[in-house]
Amino acid sequence: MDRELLKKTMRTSISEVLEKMFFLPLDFSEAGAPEELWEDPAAADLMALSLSFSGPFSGSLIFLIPRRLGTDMTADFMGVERDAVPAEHVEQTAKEVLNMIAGSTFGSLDDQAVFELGIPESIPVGSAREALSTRDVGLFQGVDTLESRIALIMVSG
Amino acid sequence: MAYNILIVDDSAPMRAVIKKTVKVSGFNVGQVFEASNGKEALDLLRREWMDLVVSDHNMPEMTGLEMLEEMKKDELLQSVPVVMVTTEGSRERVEMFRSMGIADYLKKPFTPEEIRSKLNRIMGEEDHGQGAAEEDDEDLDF
Repeated sequence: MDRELLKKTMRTSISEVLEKMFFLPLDFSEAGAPEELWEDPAAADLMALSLSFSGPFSGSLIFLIPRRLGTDMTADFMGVERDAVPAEHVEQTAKEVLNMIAGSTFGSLDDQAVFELGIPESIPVGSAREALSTRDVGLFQGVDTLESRIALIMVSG
Repeated sequence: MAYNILIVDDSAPMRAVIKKTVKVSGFNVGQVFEASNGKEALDLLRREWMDLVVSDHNMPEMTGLEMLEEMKKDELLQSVPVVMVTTEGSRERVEMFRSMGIADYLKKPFTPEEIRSKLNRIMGEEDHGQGAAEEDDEDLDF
């Protein structure tokens, strides 16, 4: 798979989901690497989610999002104060975002390529960090929005 | 005319996303009802007047397609249009939905313009909004 095409497709999908559906301003980070995430002061607030995929190539898509941002997104759409948002709803929002980005990315790559997508699941941040250090990172995309940074990371295997 | 809509999704945030998107789209929406699965939706459909159902497919207790099957067996509900919301927009999947009798489908992520265009078309309303023409073409482009 052409890495640049994959990156471009994923950026388009991230933009469609977060800008068009959640009305978030985005700034794609050109630089950056997974290691930087853990050095960020906001790292303690991160939620991690994973969605497995299989097809012409297989692996997992890991989504890292600050809980504060997920709470704000959920509160905004539900029309409630952020303190009134249950943790369960924040998790559902993050799962939905990951599901949509994955569906849009893999659905746009190639008409002939069929990917089977798993169900998004929450994983401990430590597991995400371990996966990034022990598995091949095929793609890392950092995205800055509302003074927060989110990241999509494709790992193989 | 304002149309009553039933939004069916097991995710409360996703129901809120759909509700907000419909409201900002400019579609003439009346009351918005919510259900978290097909079974709850059928109960509501039998109690309240609905013009349109916008439903997810994968839900616990009763899926969107199972709900649609039940609606088709019910004389009072069989003509209520159902728009299926899906993340996976493969031709096979869409054909399967169509063969079951959906009025249309919405592939996530969707924009307010896309949702307005689809709902207006289903309800026989004219749609002069920006993006409506392009959206129709998109149906054939997987």
